[in-house]
Amino acid sequence: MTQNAIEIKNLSKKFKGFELSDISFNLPSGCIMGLVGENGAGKTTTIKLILGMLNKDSGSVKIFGNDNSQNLEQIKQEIGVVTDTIGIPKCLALKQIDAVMRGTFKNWDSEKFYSLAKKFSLPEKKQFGAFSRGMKMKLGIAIALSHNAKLLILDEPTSGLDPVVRDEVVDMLIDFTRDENCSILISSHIISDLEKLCDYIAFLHKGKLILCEEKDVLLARYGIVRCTAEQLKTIDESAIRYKKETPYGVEAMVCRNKAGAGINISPISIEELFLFTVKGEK
Amino acid sequence: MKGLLLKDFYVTIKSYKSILIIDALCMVTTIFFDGVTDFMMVFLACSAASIPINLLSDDEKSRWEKYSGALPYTKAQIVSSKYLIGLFSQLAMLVVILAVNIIKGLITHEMQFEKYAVLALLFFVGMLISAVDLPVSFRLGVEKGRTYGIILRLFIVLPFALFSFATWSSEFSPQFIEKLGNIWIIAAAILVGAGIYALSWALSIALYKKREN
Repeated sequence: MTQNAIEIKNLSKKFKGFELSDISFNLPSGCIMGLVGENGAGKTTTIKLILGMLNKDSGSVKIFGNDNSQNLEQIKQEIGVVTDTIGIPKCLALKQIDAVMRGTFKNWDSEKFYSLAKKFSLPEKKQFGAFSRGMKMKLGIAIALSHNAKLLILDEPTSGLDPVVRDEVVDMLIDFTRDENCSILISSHIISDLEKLCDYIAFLHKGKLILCEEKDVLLARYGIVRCTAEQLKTIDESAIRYKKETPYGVEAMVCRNKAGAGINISPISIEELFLFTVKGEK
Repeated sequence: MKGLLLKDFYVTIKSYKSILIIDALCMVTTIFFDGVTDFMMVFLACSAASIPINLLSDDEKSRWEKYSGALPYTKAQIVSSKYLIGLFSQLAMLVVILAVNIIKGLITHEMQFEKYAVLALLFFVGMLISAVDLPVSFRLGVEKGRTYGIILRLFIVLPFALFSFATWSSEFSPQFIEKLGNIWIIAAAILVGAGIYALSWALSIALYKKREN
């Protein structure tokens, strides 16, 4: 049986003005899951709860089969984390960062760290405070990939990166999961990156998980119908998940297998799926 | 934990390099000039006591505080690193002052043994300052913590500080200074300081566990 890298059951956390409620999903080993959602949907809260940076109100989080409320520091030895801001002290240069991380991770690989730093063209002598935003993110990714982690948890890792570097990072992440024991949970606003990377997609909206499915299943299951309001009435109502009116007619996200024959259904992208789910009318 | 201590060591050396150099130079000058040793001892004690809080403030500014939450450290280890750094800086301060006093004594052929008692008091006050500031800062953050820390110091630390300053002058109470030279009094000051520091350490761990990053 394949072990799940992450198992989340009925996870809830309440803040003043926001509630993450009853989230459940599994990330199978060797897979990449994308967390998609608008700002404030609960992506970062979910990630922080997984990493024990926030205390959950209820539910459970298991990482590699172990409850994250026990021995989390041992579990974290096998997790590489990149957050939207990398919190390295400004006065440290690569040499000191390498020494600090060697004292942090049991499996720290200095050689790999320096080779990634070289690949990312990170300056060896410059202090972290003088790095550009792109360089800082690259350093965060280099740290996450230099201790033989089995799970990467990435919160907006490609934000602030130019398209060329973003592409490099995406390729590197794909490389990482070539080992079937390695998994990635990634949140990003750049859905095109997720579409390229992910095996699974989880949609969060206003603190609720509204969809969590294999990407290919989603793309095969749903499609877009662009037609007039009159033509839309001919489609079985149960096939229409969401619809929106445009100046040129109606666009609807439909279940392919319920829509019936003879209807022209276009493929849907993950970005369109997300926008329909968040903005479309039922 | 090694990584945390190493990070704090690098930040202390790199960020406070100029302060450390000035401290060292001033202490060396006290060997040759009379009358400034006492002031410098207090100055150095205050510098040492402020290191853990300054490091905590740096952690907040650089967002290391949040980043370290994603690294394989327990909250107890994150708190403990600051208390250990505080202890190391206090001990380093004692060693430097002791060395300067011994060198000065050898040069002037006047060993002022009562100074060692004052050293114990300085250590005690330094520990007390950190013991008051750190739990509040771990719970509320350094900015708010500083404000509450100042208020708390007025009630807790200031009486001890005034007490130690008052006993500084030999005109104030020569008998008292003599009594302070008693090894048991010195040991008691160090033990009480260490005890309060240990309690504060445990309190900070409990408070930081409740704090969410």
